Amino acid sequence: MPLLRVLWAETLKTKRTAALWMVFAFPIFVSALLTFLLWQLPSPLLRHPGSQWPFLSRFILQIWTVLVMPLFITLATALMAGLEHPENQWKNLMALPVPRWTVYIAKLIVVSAMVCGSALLIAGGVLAAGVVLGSLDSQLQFPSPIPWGVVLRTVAAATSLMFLAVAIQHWVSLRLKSFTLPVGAGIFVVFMNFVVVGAARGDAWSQYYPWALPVRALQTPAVDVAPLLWLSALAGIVVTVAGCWEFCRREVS
Amino acid sequence: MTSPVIQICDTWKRYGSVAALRGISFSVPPNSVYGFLGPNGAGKTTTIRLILGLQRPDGGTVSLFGQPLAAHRIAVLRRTGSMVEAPALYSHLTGRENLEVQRRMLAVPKSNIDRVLGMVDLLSDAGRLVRGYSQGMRQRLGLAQALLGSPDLLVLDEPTNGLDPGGIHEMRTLVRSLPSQGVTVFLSSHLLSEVEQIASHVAIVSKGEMQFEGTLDDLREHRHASVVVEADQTERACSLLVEAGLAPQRDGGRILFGPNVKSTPARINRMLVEAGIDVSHLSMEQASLEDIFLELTRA
Repeated sequence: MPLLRVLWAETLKTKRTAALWMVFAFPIFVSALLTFLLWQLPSPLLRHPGSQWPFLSRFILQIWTVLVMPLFITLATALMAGLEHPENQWKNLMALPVPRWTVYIAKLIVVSAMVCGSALLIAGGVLAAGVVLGSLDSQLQFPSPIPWGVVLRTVAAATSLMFLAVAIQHWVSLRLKSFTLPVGAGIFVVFMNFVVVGAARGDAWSQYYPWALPVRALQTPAVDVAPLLWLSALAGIVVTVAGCWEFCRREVS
Repeated sequence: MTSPVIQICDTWKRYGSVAALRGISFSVPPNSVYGFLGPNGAGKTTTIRLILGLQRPDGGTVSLFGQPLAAHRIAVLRRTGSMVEAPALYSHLTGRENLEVQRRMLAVPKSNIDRVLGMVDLLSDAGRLVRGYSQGMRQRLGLAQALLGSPDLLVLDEPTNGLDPGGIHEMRTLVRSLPSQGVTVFLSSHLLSEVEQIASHVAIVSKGEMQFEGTLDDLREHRHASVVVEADQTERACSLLVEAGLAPQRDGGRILFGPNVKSTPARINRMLVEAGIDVSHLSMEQASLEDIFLELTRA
């Protein structure tokens, strides 16, 4: 099957790339940094006796979804597209006997897998942070059992809600030859995310800002994210189809 | 008669208001080395992009192996290997890994990698990262990529760019050996001397238009001789020759006659000597292939 062949080739291209390192580095760095922060300034955690786990997971995952994950997606998509742009590998890639759409989709799958991998690691980071904080400070005990289900469900929902943003960023990165332009755009949307997340409480439209969707999975009281998951999936598919169509028709110079 | 491997009919390509190709037509016979010649900007790379389906023509048809490219892109590209301009390599991967990326896409046996590495003499360096390769090694790896799928047609754009004399010689030897293995080679170059040594067929393109297509022998038949005379009293000699209906051109102390001179060297000599003009030099100069190339591409 051509898609599997191309996907297999795309995975090899990630070897020794910064994008692959980021999958491990970002969640490890973020969870280590936030663990250190809570160890040094434990008062917010101490204010939630009996519900340390929900507080800890929300604290780490909010930083992750609002700030780090959009940045991660920006860099991962730009770096992966950057494998082809500098020496114009497109002219070799597009002259191979594989349908062009398989190249577009395979690259999207690889980037999505990277996002999922980093999300899985940040879920592990939440749990590790609880264990480490408990062992570092006797005041910071987490008496309740580790809430594997809640943490994994929250991470899965937030990551799935990122699909639309991944699809947009993927198209932009493959469209623009420059590395700085998509990264610059990505940094701008991260900045906008702060504004939008702040406004989302009162504004009906801003909550549908693609990069702000994952935050809704962390909202308290919990909201039903199923409609948002549908929205992200359907809009993501529309963007992917549009991007794929444009990619297949593109002339390679 | 066997059908051509590449057939291009009345093909046009425009970039905005600029026509890069103006109705070019040619056909590449099987098992030939087809040299596609032209100066920079003549339309060579554009033609190659059309042959590989990287761009679409604005008019005309491109067929490979008797099938229209537009309708059978995957099928014809499965039989085609290519290297367009500089080789497209991933510098963070080793030479072998670069080939493995391509092998996975082509779904060919793993043994092909060692075979092509051997062909381009890169077996010992295959484990090194490509970012440490010299220009010549990169060029050879690009050729290995093009050969990996055991193609019936190899399309090479300026394949000797960046190669040292030794590398150029190796490339020539390799390309020359391919037709005997059933591979048709289409290679573009702006150097006639390079094409002359390996090609069996030649096409010359200039400003997006075909100027010549045929075998090298056909091209040689285009050669013509011109007559060069050196004599004292050059000015008087010229006047005399003009009166005789010839069209001499003065070049310092020399008198030149173009290829269509309506006389023979012997008659010119007699005419001058009988008029009392001493002739110190008289020769016929055969135009080189390079002269023909320049003449065709300047047209």
